[in-house]
Amino acid sequence: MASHAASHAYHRRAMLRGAFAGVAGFSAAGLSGGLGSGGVPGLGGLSSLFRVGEVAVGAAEPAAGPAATPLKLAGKRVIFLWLAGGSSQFEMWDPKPGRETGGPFRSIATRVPGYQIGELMPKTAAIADRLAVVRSLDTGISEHEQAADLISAGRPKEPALDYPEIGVVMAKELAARESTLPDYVSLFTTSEGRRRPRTGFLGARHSPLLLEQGLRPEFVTPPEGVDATRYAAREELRRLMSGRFAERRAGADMVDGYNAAYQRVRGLMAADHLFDLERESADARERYGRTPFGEQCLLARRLIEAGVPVVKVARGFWDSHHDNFESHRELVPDFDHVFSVLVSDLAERGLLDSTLVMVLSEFGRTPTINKDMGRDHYADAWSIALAGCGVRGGVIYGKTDEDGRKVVDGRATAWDLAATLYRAVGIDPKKEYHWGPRPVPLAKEDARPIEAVLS
Amino acid sequence: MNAPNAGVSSAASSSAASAPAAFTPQAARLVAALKTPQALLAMVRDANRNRLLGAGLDGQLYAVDLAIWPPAGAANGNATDGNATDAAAAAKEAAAKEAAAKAAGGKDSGKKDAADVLRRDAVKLWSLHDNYVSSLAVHDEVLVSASFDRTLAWWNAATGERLRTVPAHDGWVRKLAIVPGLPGGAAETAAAGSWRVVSVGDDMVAKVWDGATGALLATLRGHAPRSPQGFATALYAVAAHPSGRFVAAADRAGECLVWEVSTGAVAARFTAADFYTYDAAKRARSIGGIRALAFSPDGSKLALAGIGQVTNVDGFVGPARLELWDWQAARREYAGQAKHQAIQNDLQFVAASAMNDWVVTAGGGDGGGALAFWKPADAAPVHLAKPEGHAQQLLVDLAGGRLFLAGHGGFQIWRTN
Repeated sequence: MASHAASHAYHRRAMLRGAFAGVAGFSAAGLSGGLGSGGVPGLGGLSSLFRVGEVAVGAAEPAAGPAATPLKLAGKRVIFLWLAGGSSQFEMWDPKPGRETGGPFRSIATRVPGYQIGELMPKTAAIADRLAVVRSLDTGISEHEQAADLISAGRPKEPALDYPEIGVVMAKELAARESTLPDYVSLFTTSEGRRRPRTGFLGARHSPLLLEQGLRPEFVTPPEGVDATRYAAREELRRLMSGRFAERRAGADMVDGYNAAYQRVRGLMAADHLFDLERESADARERYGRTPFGEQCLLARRLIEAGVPVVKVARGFWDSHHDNFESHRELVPDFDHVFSVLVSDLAERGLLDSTLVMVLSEFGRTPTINKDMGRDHYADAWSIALAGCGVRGGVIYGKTDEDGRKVVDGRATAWDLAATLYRAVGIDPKKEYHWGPRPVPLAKEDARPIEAVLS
Repeated sequence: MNAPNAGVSSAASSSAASAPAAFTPQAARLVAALKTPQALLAMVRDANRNRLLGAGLDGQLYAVDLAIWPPAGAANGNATDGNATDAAAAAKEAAAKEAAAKAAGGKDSGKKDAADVLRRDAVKLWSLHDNYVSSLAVHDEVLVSASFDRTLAWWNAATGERLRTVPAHDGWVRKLAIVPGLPGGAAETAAAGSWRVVSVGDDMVAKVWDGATGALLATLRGHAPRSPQGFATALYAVAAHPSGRFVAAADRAGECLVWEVSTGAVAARFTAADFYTYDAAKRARSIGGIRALAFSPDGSKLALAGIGQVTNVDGFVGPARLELWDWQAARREYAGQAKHQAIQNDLQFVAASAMNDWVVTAGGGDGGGALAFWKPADAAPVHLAKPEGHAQQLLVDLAGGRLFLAGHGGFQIWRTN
């Protein structure tokens, strides 16, 4: 089936490209995102399309689109803050001042009695009662790509099955059927460690909108000379040809995937104003700050507020093998400011209770300070933070030893974290998708949600 | 990036002619490594007691008895630190190892397993600060220490008695230097006492202190409080003019300011932009900065050291870099880079006439430790040796044919003849 689809997929795409040059360009770019690392834009999108068909055949759920959003999930939103490269728990969430491993930064009190945070995060300290901090992640893998896969999917890789990432699943579960907005927007504007969220067996139809070159989607403006009337005529032609193609050659499932992509493009064209930060007040612009991370998080808030269920903002690049303290002096205050503003802004707008904000990374940094005043990769004892929807604020979960070398209380795995995140937004981690006849639970079978951080 | 000065002579031809007899860079070899529990960031020579003092990450003060490694041509002296019998034995062992190395005719550029390198623990003296110690200076019998705990502390160098602690900067104190007294006892020197100290910190100001009393004499401003991209920056380096009239400080973004101490007026300002890399496309952060600064012995030039443009800001993945500026004209007169990928944390002039001087720099990075000998007519170092690990500070004993390093692992003693 795959090879059959492959040959026709190419011809189909070539035909569409000719008919709808401007919009088709965006569509291919969006579809290609589902390949994950190493995918070749354009051609990668084609191979992803096979998986759309496979899921449609094997999935228990119809492939036409997400099921109607259950009432308990309605209006729930998620913002991932991905600190790409591996931020240091010592300089942020789990300081060890005065210890050989602790580095030169001191700790400061927070609004949570007894909890001290790194001195570079005074603004986060002031909102700590809204946060749940997990200081006891033991995830084992300390190579960038593999660790990012593990944390993003919440489970180890399996040769036989390509799992979707947590954000992709959440987008599928939280998306409203009638929405014309993208289900998932991923901002990763720096190139190092860039990840395109893996849609896995869910297929390219669930690919996020990727913002990699800037804050606004590319290719959503009709080509020069194509006015609204001409665009509508092209769309009508496309719809007619799609119907015939589905009937005679490819089948409805594949064409549904295309139609969904075009639907999203049309939604984006109508919602282009959401990506225009100039529409924010000057006060809001200044409040978030004019740094790239500040602007991306302001955009995330705009999108969430407008109804996009999942937004991921990647802030690179925290890999600090040399000069760790200098790089964290630069990066942490920026994070501290923007993160605290984001959480506060969501709260002020009444969005925080329905929006899960999570601060994740692929791993932490080593207790040992190396010869170049750096810290290397460390996955045996590190920290993440959560706020908002489903999160019990003011909970500091887990503990590391006095030098931060190992977890001594509350050890949590990557799959425990995944189950926790699902639970926070009301998704049952044991819910099953189907890959052919195989039931696939959202979280790994032995995952245990960290109940203490859940409200 | 600006290209280093062109029209240079070959390294070999230009190096030998002006080097003093006890200073032959190509002969540089490690003779001893004195271990400390954690890395050292600072080192100073305590001439009155013929010892090196060092401090760093653990806030403790360590010492090395230089009598064990006497100047070139001198006999082993009387060791002064630690157990006398032990020190005498160490001196004997050191002499034997050096003799063996000389007999073998080999150079040692710091191989860890080299049999002719004497290895011992440095002697721990007393606790200076409860955070990293970033800089040390000695004036006669007084030791001054700077720390990331934001203070300066004055100590009796002989006894370890704390004389005073002064809250110095709103942020880490990065470096300090002794400001020489003005010739003829000019008014400001007389008013301030016999000696002054200048310090720089993360509040981005330089402060001049009365060395005798610890009183603040002047606060020197002008460095940008944020990096060009709006992030935290740092004031890494400070130097005092040989005349005592000027001090200079340099920051992460490559800006260098020179002030007239008596008035606080900015006497010069220039930016050496190649020391700073901001990678917006790949990693959205910066690295670099001018990490070391020194006036030439005649006062006409400022030497700046650090790292050139970095290809991967996760680390020191860029060329070791040295620049010389005519600071009064705000004109760069020399730029040199090494192929060796390392940041240079310290530098020292080793001769007396500005553009013909040798400059030695030390540091470390992706290429490992670096000890670079520059002849500022050549585009690259004349010689580059590899210390054991990343060096943070160096001291050159020109006449004695010795060179001392402090950094990862502790102290290192090198011979340069």
